[in-house]
Amino acid sequence: MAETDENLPSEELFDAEFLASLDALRIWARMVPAGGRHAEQRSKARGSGVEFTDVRPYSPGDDFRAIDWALFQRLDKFFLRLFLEDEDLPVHFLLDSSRSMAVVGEGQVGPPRMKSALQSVAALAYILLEQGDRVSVQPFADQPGPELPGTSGSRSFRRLLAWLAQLRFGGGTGLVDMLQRFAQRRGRRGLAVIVSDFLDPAGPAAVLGALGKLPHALLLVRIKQPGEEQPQLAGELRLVDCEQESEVTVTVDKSFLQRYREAYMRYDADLRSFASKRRGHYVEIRSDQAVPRQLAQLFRSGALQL
Amino acid sequence: MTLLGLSPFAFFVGLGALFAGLLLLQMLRVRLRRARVDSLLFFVEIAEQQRPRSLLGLPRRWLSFLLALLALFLLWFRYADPALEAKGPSRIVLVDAAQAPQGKEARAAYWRKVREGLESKGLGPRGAVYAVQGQCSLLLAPKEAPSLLERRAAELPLGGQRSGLYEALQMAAERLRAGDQILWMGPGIELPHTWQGLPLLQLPTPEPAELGCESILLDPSGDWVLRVWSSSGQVVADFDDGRPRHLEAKDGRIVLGAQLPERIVLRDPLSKIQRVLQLPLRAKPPLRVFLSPKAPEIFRDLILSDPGLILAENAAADVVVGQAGPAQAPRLRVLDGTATQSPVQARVLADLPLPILLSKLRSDQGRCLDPLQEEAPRPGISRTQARDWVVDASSGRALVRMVTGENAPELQLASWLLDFEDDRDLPLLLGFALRVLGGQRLPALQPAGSPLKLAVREAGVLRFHSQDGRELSFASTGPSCSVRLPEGVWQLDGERIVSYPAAAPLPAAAAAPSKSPQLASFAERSPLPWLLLLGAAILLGVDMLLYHRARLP
Repeated sequence: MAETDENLPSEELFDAEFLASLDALRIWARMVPAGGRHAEQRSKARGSGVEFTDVRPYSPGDDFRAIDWALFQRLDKFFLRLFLEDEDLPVHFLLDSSRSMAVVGEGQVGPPRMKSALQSVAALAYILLEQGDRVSVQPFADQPGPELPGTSGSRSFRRLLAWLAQLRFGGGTGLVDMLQRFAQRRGRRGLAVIVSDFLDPAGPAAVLGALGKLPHALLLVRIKQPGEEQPQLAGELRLVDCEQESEVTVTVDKSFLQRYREAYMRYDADLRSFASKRRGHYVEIRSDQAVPRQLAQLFRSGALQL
Repeated sequence: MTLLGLSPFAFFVGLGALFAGLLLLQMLRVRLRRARVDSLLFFVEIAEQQRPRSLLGLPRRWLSFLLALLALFLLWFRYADPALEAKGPSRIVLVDAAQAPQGKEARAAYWRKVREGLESKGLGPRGAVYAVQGQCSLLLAPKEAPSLLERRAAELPLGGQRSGLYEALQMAAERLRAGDQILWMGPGIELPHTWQGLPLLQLPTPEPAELGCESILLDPSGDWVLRVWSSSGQVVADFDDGRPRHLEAKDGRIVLGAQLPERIVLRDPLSKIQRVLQLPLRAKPPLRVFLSPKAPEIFRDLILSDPGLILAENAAADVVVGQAGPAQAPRLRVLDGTATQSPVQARVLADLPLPILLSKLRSDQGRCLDPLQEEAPRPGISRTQARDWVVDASSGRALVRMVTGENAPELQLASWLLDFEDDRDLPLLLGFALRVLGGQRLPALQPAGSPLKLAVREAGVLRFHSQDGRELSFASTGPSCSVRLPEGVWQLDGERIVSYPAAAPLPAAAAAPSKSPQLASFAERSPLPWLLLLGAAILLGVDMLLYHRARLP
């Protein structure tokens, strides 16, 4: 089993080429499809925006500046002009920092998922911050880790990168637990971006159940290891979970691998179907390919919108 | 296959090995390889549907189990040492159990040597070993392990007679197939006339002393060479040929020199075994022949061409040819053939080789002596009957007669017989006649393929050399042995044996010359055991390959 370091140096994670590709990625993300932006959100609060939305009768205490004088001349009554107030979109990144993101299982190839996961968060956050959205990052393994609180503005991006670079990977995958905790949080509804391998020992049904309780719009980013859909294993094996150190004895043959692939593809389809029903998105990022290029492709094809 | 022919110990050892092998294979199968994976999510789900192999449970993969079982059975059959029944000559061995020593250890050593001898030679697919001792007892059935021989032989009664030999031969003859042989391990025997064609070979009986003399040969350099052997590989010869000498064997050879001592003591310096070798065969001085002035000139040519004959003066002659010469010397006279006698009184004249000489003359001349027809000349006919002329019945003319006069024996030949152009064997025959008269022991004159009985002092190998470079070897235990020679003139330690074409063809099996007493060994054995072993190895390899590649259904 090839095992990588549990964190990577910042220079390696976010090198110049990666950073240079983010601007191009932002341009692709601005090409809004006909259905509108995925993360576009208008506040219901009427406030000091510039976009007119309605009028209402004046009541004592209202701001005189908002009185519609033209309407007063016609109707001889005071009415106030109401405008939509723009609010920033809260985007919550739930980043899987378990050990399975940092290791390459036997029968799989390519680099571990960790780098792709961090780069995916960085790239998406860059676009969102440039849009003026508010971004927070909540890492989790078997327990939630220290959170990067909500931040906005393009100047926050450097801080975000530094914070991601120091993040350490390890422990079990507590995706279901994290989702349940997150669902109970109070706050503004926003967009939940879940970056994970989605390999929670609790099983696919529990993961889907926990996802269904989230009150946010969903973007599921599944980081895939090449070969994980059909590992190159054979014979009598005692498989050891890299996170739990639990074991299972199997005889891997053609029929076994066939059943494995069927189960894997079924989980894939379930996640995709769930995201679709929730009007969310489900995307896959392969760990052996450049993340910006994959995201650009997703934006271009409309499979991903922010 | 002779699975049941295995001894109980070997059977249960094999059975245990089979079980252990199967267990080992199963253990190998459940020796799991550890593999760390990023998640057991899907593996657990599928593993719940799949029951892993267990050591003590029923095998889940029956094909794999049967494959392993088949491979193990092939190994088992290889262990049983099977052979293809139809191929390869076999040897039915008859061992003279009466020759076994009485002492326990000596007896065990005797049978151990028998077993070693048989193991080195092989028995073939139908070969068996019988002990001949009053009755014929089976010691080793076909394909049984030779190691059983000693244990079964130990149960034989001590002593006993060799009275069951002919019954054993009869039994062996009934089991023979083309190419098979009967080996007799015991003293020399003389077969009845009706069994002359039996493919019987004689092997030396093992002797407790592991020291012996194989042969005494006259080296081309002129030295006498003793070929010796011992279990330790070391032999020292002590002898006295004017001065005491001790010679050590090198490569089994002891060079004695030009003089051949009569008595040699062979000893093994390590085992302290000592044997006295009385040399039975010695170089003979040439026969001195006095040629009387009126003797046919052809005798002079004969004597000059025969290294065993030399011309001698009157007084020193051993034999005289013609009328003149010392009266006390045996004489060969050539008569003019006019001395016709009363017909049909002829009898065989003398010991070997003279009766054969006469037989040869008769057959070569194409004449038929009716009275002799019923009483064909052969060895053993009494000399007392041989006083008259042998007469050609068709012409009534005399041929030859032996006269036992008062002074010395006299052989009379009809002069018309001396036709060297018509009879190319005549010089040889006359040379024999002169030797008979000179009192020398003559080289055997023997129909090719018929048994020739030889007196031998020492057990060992007798090697015959022909004039045309051929060599034949026979095993002998002494004091006598019977050999069969193909046509030709053969030398055995200076003795000459002439084997001439027999009138009647011999059975093919008997007529085929044996190239060597070193019988075919394990090289002739069936390749089946090794094929089984190879098959088992291939099966196991395929099984493991399929297994590791998870290709087993």
